[in-house]
Amino acid sequence: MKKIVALSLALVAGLGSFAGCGVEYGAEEREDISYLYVNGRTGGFGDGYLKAVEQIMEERYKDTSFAEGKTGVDVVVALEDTVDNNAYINYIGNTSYNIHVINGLSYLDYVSFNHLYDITDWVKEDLADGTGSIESKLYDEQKQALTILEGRYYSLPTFACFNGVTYDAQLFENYGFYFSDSAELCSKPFTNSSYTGEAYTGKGFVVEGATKSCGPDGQYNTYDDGLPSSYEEFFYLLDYMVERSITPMVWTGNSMHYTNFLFQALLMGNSSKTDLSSMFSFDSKGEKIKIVDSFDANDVPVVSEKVITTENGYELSQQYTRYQALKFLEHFFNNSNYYDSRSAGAQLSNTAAQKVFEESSLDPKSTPIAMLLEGGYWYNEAQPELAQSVTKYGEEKAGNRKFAYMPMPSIEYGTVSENEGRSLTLVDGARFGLVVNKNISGNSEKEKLAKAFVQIFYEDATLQKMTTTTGIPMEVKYDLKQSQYDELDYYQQGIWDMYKNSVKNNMYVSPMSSNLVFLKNENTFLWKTTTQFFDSVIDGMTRSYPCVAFWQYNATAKSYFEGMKITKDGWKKYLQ
Amino acid sequence: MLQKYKKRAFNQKLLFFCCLTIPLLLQFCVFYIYVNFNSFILAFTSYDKFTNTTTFVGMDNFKDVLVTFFASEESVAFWVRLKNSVVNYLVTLFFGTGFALLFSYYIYKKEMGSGLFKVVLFLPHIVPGMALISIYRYFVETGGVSLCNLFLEKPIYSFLWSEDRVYPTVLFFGVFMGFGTQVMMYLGAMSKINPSITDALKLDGASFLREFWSITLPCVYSTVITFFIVGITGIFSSDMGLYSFFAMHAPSETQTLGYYLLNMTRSNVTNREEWPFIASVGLVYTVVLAPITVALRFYLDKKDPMN
Repeated sequence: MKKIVALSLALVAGLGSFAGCGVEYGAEEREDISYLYVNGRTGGFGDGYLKAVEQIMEERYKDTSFAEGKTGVDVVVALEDTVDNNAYINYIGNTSYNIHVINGLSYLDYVSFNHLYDITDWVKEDLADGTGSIESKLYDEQKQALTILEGRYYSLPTFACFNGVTYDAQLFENYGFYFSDSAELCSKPFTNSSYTGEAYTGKGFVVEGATKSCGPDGQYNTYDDGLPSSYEEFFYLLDYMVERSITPMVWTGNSMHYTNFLFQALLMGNSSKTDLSSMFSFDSKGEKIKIVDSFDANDVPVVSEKVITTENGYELSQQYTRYQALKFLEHFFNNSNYYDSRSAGAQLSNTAAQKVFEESSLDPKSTPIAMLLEGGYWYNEAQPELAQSVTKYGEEKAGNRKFAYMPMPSIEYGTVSENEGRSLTLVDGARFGLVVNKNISGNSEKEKLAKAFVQIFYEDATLQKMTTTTGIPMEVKYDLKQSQYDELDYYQQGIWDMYKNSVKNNMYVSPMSSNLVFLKNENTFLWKTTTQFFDSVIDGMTRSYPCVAFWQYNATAKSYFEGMKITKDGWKKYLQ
Repeated sequence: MLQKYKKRAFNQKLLFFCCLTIPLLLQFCVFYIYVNFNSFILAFTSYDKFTNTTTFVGMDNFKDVLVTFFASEESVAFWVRLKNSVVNYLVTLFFGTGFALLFSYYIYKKEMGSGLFKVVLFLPHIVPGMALISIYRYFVETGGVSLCNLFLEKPIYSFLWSEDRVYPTVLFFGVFMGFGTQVMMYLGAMSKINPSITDALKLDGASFLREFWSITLPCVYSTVITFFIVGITGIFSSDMGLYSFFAMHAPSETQTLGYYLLNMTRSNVTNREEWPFIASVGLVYTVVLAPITVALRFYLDKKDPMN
């Protein structure tokens, strides 16, 4: 008996040390078919888009042999959302999956660990559907950034994800929160603007018979009609909402970095393409950018216009658009009537905030909430909650919800008239990327399968299918047919319109760059709310969230802005 | 026959011993010797991810660390982190260890309700730390806030996003959660005290506190100083649970030296270019801490009343 106990203990102790060394999928069950393993860390987007590629690939190659004695292919798709983003680099080095779609991908880091397979030839080859090569579908800045290592491709872009404010369009219609096009047919509930402290100079709200204003882009019949075009109008709207007992906004206070989604959205609203792209390229290509040099005695910024190159890239930390956005944020966060009080603490998780938002206008006991501050993935993430609401409140009330992305105003004061506005500059805020694991090297079967998968992934029909499945645009050049566009719901159509409009007007920015300063210091310059992009050093202490700095540390827009400054001397550290 | 039996028994024992110790030795070699050796090497090199080359840079990384800590705009934050780390240590030492000793003694003496205290103090330790922190966060941010607002004229919205309240809130959690572990250890040490000593004391009419001061405390002295010494190392390594509370963005007022190092490491997991600097920070911590710890250990051992 003792012997059995001793051996059992020894076995347990010995095997215990190998805990965690496992494979992620079962053994290849059939020997007569080829297997390809695909893994996505795509959070709220789910795996539907990968299943779409799986279906196309399995059907197309059902009679094809990728290895001797095998016919057809079984694409095994799995989500790996339990692995932390930072830990994924270790995961990918030990996993048996062959293809990955990763959120927040810095592909150079993965290459430095020798985890990625060189896919250059696949990217340059023409696709089977006759739509050109994958490379031909990439935007110029993507091509430059993705070929920084001796012209070789190791990664490809996937989703275009836009963070910011979503509004309840149905609630806007019911309460008349859209701005009117007419100076006569409108309602102006207040004479003064709370933002300027002076007489209000924006448009009034729609009344019966009035048409919506042209919105921030200055064009009629676009996705932003009737929305506030200036900060003055935006706060006029918020004041009106408060007067009508509507809570303007909610977000998760549990992850305070979500408040920087508003910072991102404001910069997309008030910046030109060069303003934003130079934040990553440190090259304004000869165009001049407004830089705040100092503040005068009345705290008014002294602005000059400068051409930006890598040598003076530090000037961008004092871009005027950042100061404008901070003024907005200061006014917004310092008025607790503008948001749900739970957002100021850590009471609501992101999914709880989504639920609170979408149910607020359905539940008669709740105060309706007009807007939600969230990441671009929220709508997919909230699908189970939205479905539950249909069950709870009925199809008529809770089915076919009308949510829409709200572009932030493009100017500070007054209003935008027709042809005076600016098309929204859009920047992807998540950096999803597709990579091929180096574990396929030397395995001709897996190499052929991975190549087929990657090329199918970027065929027009697949991109379209993935868009209709997720409702999220893919960050490459392609279009939707009208019938496919009709498959999208109200929110998804709005996102697609916005994306296509931005691309059409050459206002789309891919937040990547081939600039070495950017690539070597991505933690500082990456367009993410969890990096140091929005950090400010005030009195020697780093603040990552303007809202907390305003609430707790008596910061102002000016002090936060000055704390974001990178000096000429400080820039040397980044140039090394 | 007897010899054969002895040999077999020896082999069984050897097998059992090897199975138990080899994984531990492997673990020690990989996660201590290799990691520290690698960290040491890293501290004297720099890495370029574009050329995939490592270069020997001598003491440059250490210079960078010292400049960052003492002569850059981050130096204010460094002193705050140091202050927070020391405060954390002192509070844990005086309140944590002090109360833990008293509670352990109370439970050890099997006074009224000691069984209940045992359960209450140990129970949180069977719940995963992250779950506890989530519960605590939710508790202070909802119930805690509502409760305070019953008594406050100006309402508060948060404990964790408040300049004045965040550090005490996190510190309280750390002290409270560390309490059970200490009680468990002291209780274990106290249970080894020879009952004949305490019986003799009773006959001599020693009071409850006299027994604690003159007998119990000297008998558990080595356990107390272990916590004392380990606590010192914690000044440079403890993150006070901040990462679990705030991930990479703990308010600057609450950060500790340990959190700084952990955060740097976590946020640069994929960025090899930053590793040499991080390794140098670790070595600088060690250089400061190692002599203090060794000297203190030597001094306290000499003061052991049982020697």
